[in-house]
Amino acid sequence: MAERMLGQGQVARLLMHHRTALYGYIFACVRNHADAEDILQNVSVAVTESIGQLQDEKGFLPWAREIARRRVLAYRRQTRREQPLDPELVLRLAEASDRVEREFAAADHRAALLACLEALPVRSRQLIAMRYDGSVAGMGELAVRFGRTVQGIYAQVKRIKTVLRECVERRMSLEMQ
Amino acid sequence: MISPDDREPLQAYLDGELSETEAAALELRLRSEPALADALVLLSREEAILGEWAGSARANQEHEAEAATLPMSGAASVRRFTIRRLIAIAASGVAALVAVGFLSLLFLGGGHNEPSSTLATVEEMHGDVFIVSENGKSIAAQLGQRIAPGNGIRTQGDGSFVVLTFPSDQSRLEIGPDTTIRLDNAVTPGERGKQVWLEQGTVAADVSKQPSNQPMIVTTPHAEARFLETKSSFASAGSETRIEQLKGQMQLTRKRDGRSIDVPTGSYAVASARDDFAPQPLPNQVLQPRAAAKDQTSPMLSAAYSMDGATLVTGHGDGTIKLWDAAGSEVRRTLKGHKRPVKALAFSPAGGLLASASDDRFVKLWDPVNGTDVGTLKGLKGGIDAIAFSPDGTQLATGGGFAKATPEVRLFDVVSRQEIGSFQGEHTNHVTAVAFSRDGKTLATGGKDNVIKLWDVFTRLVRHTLDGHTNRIVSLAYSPDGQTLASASRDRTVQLWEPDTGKNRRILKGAFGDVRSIAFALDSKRLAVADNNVTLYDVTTGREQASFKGNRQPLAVVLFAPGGKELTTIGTDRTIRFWDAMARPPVVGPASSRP
Repeated sequence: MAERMLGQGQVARLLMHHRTALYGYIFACVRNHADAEDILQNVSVAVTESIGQLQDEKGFLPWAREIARRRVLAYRRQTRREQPLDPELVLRLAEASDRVEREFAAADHRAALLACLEALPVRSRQLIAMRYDGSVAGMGELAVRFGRTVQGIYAQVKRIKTVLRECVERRMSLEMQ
Repeated sequence: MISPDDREPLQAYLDGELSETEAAALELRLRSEPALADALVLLSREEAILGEWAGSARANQEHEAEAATLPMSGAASVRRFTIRRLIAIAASGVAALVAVGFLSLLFLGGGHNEPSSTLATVEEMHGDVFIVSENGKSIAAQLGQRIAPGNGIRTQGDGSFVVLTFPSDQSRLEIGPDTTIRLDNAVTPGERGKQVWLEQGTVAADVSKQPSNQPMIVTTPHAEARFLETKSSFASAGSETRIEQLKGQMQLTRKRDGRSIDVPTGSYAVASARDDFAPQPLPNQVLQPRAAAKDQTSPMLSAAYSMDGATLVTGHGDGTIKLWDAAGSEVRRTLKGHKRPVKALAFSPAGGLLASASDDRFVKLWDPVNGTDVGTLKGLKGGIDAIAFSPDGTQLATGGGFAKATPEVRLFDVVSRQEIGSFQGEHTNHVTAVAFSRDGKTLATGGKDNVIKLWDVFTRLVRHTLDGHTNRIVSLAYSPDGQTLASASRDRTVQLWEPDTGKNRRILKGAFGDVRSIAFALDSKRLAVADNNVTLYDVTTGREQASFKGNRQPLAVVLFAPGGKELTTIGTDRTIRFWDAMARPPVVGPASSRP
């Protein structure tokens, strides 16, 4: 039934819609963006292949998260990383991801944060963009590019993220009215 | 949200900057402290969004820089951009599936672009408005900005809107909140009109000055409309598109079966999966309030009328409560006592008490005549979203929640100010609405878990669970005759229930903004539903009787003034509007709802 109900377009839409939630969970587990991207790609393929198992579109995220949990554990086993992940911690983070999603949907978080990024002063936006776009090797290079000390750039990034977080909270507070 | 003390170690943990010992200690806490695990996931999600945003911005910059060096022009270069963007996205994960969507956009936007020309300009805007280029890049819109063919417009958030004018013929588009459209020149060979793709949201189009042979074509996921010299409004969400024809005539084609109908002046039609696809008379439209009052100090979040109708009270984001005269011409008194936003207000049935509930975890009781603070209900663990007096005025129920998703429904004795019970074990998330039945024996509660519970007030056991909404409940109201319970939800429906059996009697559709408030008229026959506007429904038939328009920003509260002849709306634009509620119903009109 689910296969009939959910076509490839719907699966793509659901994956896109829940991408942030899934990636957020996976990254919390593995703390490495390259690994998280690989795992998310594996999850996307697995979700697409086994979508017929899904009974109801409403259950998509918990179902996809469970696939992600298994892929996180499998990935670490396959790649034989130096630090194995604790299955219990991966499970606890899955439960946390579920709680967080119920309280504050990732799609809402994303929309609010993107809007807040748009509202940042240009230089702050540039700094955050360079911090996260992979174009600099680390905070040291970022400090050089912006003519600041490393400690100064850390503090600056922290301040901007605080501004963003307060902006998101403000927006969500308005949203909750 | 995340405690500042935890943020730094969690961020350092995500960044891989903790020592092994520190990381192991934190992981021990993460296994045993759910709130800390929640915080880590939230922080990780933030990293994910920032990374995605930064990567996308960088890809766009690179593509633009590259395009500037390529000897291509017009559509070819746009296509190249889009294809490269697709490749970039493909590298990030789910892209193969997403490609279909982008290719669709490419198809829709390609082949006939004149990037240097101006199709429309931004005449007026409010809130978050973005121009979306064909390669998917969003930039904040500015007044006077020119919109090229192929560009999109996206509004985001409550109160966001933008007005576009087309310099060629003075046509206007008013684009409402949370709307996504794309503009282009007409795609049909030989036609010089305009094409608007409405992906979701609301658009009002005035093309009354448009020259002949230059129609505007509006396409939504469910319908396509061609029109000239008309004024129309379109609302598209979920599974349907509603078109209201205010002036002139349009041809509307339903996409699912290609069937076309003419929609004459003063009619509306809904294109959806349902069979009924025919023009229907528009309900009476009230476009101007009888009076309006503004309060610029702080947003109004809640409101209530005193029993005699002489006082309107409003609760504000800064924790104050204001007592207005009934006409809204002056604030008679300002009550200060809450430290956080006042989310709910209620007068006791006899009128002797005003109760106010706040995010500060307190319910305060006031003497509404002299504004004296006469008591505080304490002991609540979280913010309070809703309160209700029992019909005899002896009890007061509160609805709210604390921590991440812990519901809290409590019952207080009004005289002693003491808690006398709580309703537990049923809701799985915060409770956002409460209402007592007319006989006081049942308490209805609705929450973020999308369900409504009908509790026996005496035993505090659930009699019925009403499971029909697909998003959080925002408002509950019993009809004054006690025969109907109405529920409003973020799923943009209002549902009518039989209070005794919990049976769903009717679903009122037609809201295309977030419904935040509902109110029954004194006769129990009419229900006012507020989203961006107010629609007055006949409860028995489900027909729309009247709509009260003219708000560009969403409404926070709708109320019937005692006596029932006047409707009062509290807007998020800090404006109180007073409307004549006795608007004439249309002569003919089928139900716009379904059982």
